Amino acid sequence: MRIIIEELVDDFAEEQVVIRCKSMTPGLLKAIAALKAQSPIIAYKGQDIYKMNPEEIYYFEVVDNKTFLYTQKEIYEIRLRLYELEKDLTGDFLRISKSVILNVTKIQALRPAMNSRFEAQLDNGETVIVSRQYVGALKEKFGL
Amino acid sequence: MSIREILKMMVLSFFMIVTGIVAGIWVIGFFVPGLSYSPVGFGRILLTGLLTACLFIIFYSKTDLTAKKMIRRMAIHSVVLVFTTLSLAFYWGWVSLNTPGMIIAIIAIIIIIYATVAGMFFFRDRRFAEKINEAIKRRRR
Repeated sequence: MRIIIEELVDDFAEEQVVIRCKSMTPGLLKAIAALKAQSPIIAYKGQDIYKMNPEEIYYFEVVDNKTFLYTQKEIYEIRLRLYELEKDLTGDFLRISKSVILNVTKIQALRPAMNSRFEAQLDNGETVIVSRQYVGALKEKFGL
Repeated sequence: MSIREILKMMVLSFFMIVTGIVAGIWVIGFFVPGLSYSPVGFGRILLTGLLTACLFIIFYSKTDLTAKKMIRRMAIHSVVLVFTTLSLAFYWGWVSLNTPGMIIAIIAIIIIIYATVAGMFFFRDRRFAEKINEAIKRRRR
């Protein structure tokens, strides 16, 4: 397979990846998923629009039917539903409750909370609740 | 909590409750002479275990419960649990209003079983959290 990388000269030009293939192989699908996980997410704060890199995102949360994106210190609104994000974000992101998708690399520690749930302490000091039904996925994510 | 988690809790607590009642009656047997097990009596113990385990349905919710809601449901659950167990105990003649000692003993058994079940779940979760924390540390190294 030949890999061609062209550097963009125009600062405002959109980065793109074109895959020319005879058929979709599992390897290609994996590569596409990894690329998708790296693509920035468009977030809004007031009138401003931001491009957020997945590695700076701590978690997504749905509050009153609106989806919010949390970084270390800031909160932004996004126009995607959690199930759409869940499809696009692979790798380090994991659904941990009905209303939260978490970047597992930001977990500092996990501790049991009330009634079979867990509290994940993030490295910015915040805590989020991990529902029991998503614990299996968390275990899998950490290879346990 | 989802229905699957509740079913798991129900099965585990059923065995805990039955063991607890049998152990409790064994202890009470030291103080009440002539107390003996019978197949009917054991069937009633199993039925009590089943009914009280089913009370975990109180925790069922389609959405994630907040800490406040969870505490409220735990309070409701414990009251319903005591009421159900005492009602069954009265109905089957295990206790009567003339034997306040037995009523206290049954309430004590309920508290012990409740604390044991909660403790077991807590230690299981703590062990799991420790494993995850180890994995987090390994990842960060």
